[in-house]
Amino acid sequence: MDALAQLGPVMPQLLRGFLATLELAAVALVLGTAGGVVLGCLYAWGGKLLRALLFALLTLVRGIPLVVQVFAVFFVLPVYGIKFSAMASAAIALTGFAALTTMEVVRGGIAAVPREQFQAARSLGFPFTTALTTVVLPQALRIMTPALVNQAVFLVKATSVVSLFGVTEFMFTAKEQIERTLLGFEIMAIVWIVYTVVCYPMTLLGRRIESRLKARGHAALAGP
Amino acid sequence: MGDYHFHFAPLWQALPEIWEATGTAVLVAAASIVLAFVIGTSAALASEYGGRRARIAVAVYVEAMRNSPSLVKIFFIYYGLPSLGLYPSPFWSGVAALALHNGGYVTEIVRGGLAAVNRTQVQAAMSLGFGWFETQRTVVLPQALRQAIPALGNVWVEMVKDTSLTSAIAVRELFYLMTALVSATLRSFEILAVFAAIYFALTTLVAVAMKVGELRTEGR
Repeated sequence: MDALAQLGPVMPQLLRGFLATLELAAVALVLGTAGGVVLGCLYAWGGKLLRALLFALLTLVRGIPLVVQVFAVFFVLPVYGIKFSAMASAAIALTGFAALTTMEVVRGGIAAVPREQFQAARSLGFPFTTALTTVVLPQALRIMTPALVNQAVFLVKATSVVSLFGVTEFMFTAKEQIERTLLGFEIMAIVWIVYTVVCYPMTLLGRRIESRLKARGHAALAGP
Repeated sequence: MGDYHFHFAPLWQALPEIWEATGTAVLVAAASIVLAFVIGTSAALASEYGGRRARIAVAVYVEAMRNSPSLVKIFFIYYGLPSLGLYPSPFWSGVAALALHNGGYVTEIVRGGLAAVNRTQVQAAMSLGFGWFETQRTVVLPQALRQAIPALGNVWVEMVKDTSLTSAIAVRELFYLMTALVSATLRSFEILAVFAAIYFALTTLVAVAMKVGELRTEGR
């Protein structure tokens, strides 16, 4: 019961850290998805050079650990006189990462919509953006949904790496509290359960949407 | 930006340390990849053949692994197990955590592979007098795993990248050395470039190896 008494004052701290994690994940998810849609469209309709550049960036981001990328934002940007707070740097790094990985999902979604539909819309006199937003993207979005949900789960988990840079999110707060109370087992069990409670429903949702799509004869895109 | 002078000398001096840290990262990756494979294959087989209870237990394990960050497991083992009187080293904490975490993904992948092998093959092999273990080893798993190669490759690339997280519990791998070198020399750009290149080389190596494996087993 000693441990339980000690856990009391830990909980508000953990809650604060958890809220910071949710905030980070929400920012990265919203801005990253928006950026990813833009990048995906640029990829689908952009020139060869732009496409090569985006592909190279995506390959780099996929081949290098996320911590190293976050490190770049934290320590290399300041060399050029660009300085942000720790939380903002973390948000920038995660958003950039989310945008590039979402780009790949969006690109796949657009590629899955027959090109003739876009051409038909254009030849019927639809302007480019209208053809895109009313014909291609709604269909692409439906195919992309499971992959986007998986991406959201992935991002919530990925926010934890910024704890290595002293950003006071969930993991960092947990570590701080462990150092203070030595309740490593109890605190990490709580953290594990809380992450699962957030991510598992999203995983289930993604799976349900995917099976519904399959039932309707659409092939869903694989997640990241 | 224009007045920044590149200066690689501190990195050159740190070459033996970089070599050692690369070795540690590779060792963590290799050990956890092998362990995750063993865990994942066993769990997949248990789920497929072990009856309802085993299937539920495996499902709980898989979801417990997939719905939280690998860093949670790293900290749980390193900071949590001492409460139970176990004191694993940073290295083995990292290896165990990465193996357990990614074992969940491997389980799902192998399960998918097993499901793709026709059940009648198992019945045929058993009726020819093969034991269960022999049937799995010589008939089912080779086919299941061949199908699983691309997905396994993705997980292994993730695992190589995840070795960087073990720096959080002071495993002296690449990222640990990278931050140490930056604070010692302040040459953040050069150090970032070199270490990013090393990581990229390692992940590319895994991806290419898996691609070769995929092509060589194709059509067999």
